[in-house]
This record gives sequence, C-alpha cells and structure tokens, in this order.
Amino acid sequence: MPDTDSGTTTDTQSREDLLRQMSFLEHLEELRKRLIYSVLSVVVGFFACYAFAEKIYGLMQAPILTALRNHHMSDSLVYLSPTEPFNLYIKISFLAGVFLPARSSSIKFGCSFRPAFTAMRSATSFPS
Amino acid sequence: MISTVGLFIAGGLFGFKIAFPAALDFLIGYSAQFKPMITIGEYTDLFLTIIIGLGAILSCPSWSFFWR
Repeated sequence: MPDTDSGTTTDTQSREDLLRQMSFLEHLEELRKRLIYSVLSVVVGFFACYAFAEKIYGLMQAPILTALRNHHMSDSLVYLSPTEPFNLYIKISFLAGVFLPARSSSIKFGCSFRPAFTAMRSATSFPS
Repeated sequence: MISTVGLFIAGGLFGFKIAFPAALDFLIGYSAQFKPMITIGEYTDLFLTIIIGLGAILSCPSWSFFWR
C-alpha cells in the first residue's frame, strides 16, 4: 500500500529499514503490540457503536420496510427467540466497532507485515 | 489505503442504495401470494452478506497492489 500512518516518504523509508533490521522475536513482539492495539480499537468502537445500535439498525432495515410497503405488506420484522433482538444489537455494535476504526486497526495490524510484503514483491517482480 | 477504504465504501453504498433495494423489491414481488415473516436475524445476515460482499468485491482492484 502506498500510504502509511507515519506521514512522509522519508519516515516510511526509515521505518521500513528499521523493520528489516529487527530480529524474528522483535517482529513477533511488534505483531503482538499491534494486535493488542487493534483489539483495543475494536473494543472502544464496540462500546461507542452500542449507544447507536438502534439507529444503525433503523438504517439497515429501511430497504426492506420500503420494499414491503411498496407491495402493501405488513412492514414489521419478527423475531423467534427472546434473545434475538439483544444478540442482534450486540452483533451490529460489534461489526460497526470493527468497521468504524478499520483504518487505524488495519494499518496497525497490516504494518507489521510490511517487510514481508516488500520482500515478496521484490522477489517476485521481474528484473527491469 | 485510501483507495481500499474508498472503494469499499463505494461498494457498500452501491449495494445499500441500488442493488439491495432492487433485489428485495424483486424477491418480495416474486412471492406476492405468500405472507412474509422475515426474522431480524435472517434479514441482518442477508444485509451484511450483500453489503460487505459488494464492498469487498469493489475493493478487489486495490488488493492486487499487494501482489504486484
């Protein structure tokens, strides 16, 4: 990916050089750190989105309500078990929590694989 | 990263605004002689499959940059 969280190109170059010089265990440590940050951002996103779960679901069910109304049918969805609405809100909040901080979490997670991708790219590309 | 996120959002919006309402309209119109009993769980699964699927498919071009 051409864009990083570190700003300018020189920063990116020095960061990649630093990542190349790291040992295997240091890479694992970096991966662990980034995994923890990713999980933390998802947890924060989950709680932030739980407050808006009803609004998010209202937006989600708008297409089917419109379609049902267009065909003159009852425009209310049903649930078959008492836990279903609660599970639904949890699920929606979790998914919104995954996608809301997607940029930061995926960059944090993806950057730890950058040296591998760079090495693979230079190994597989044709010589110019 | 910007292109991946942008394409994913574009795919999701395309699904939400165009593809999914059209699909629902067709599917519900197709079964006009039956009474629908759509559960929230089933509907959410369908919604997420279509929206996330379309978002992922539209962001495919940017994935190719990983493997160039």
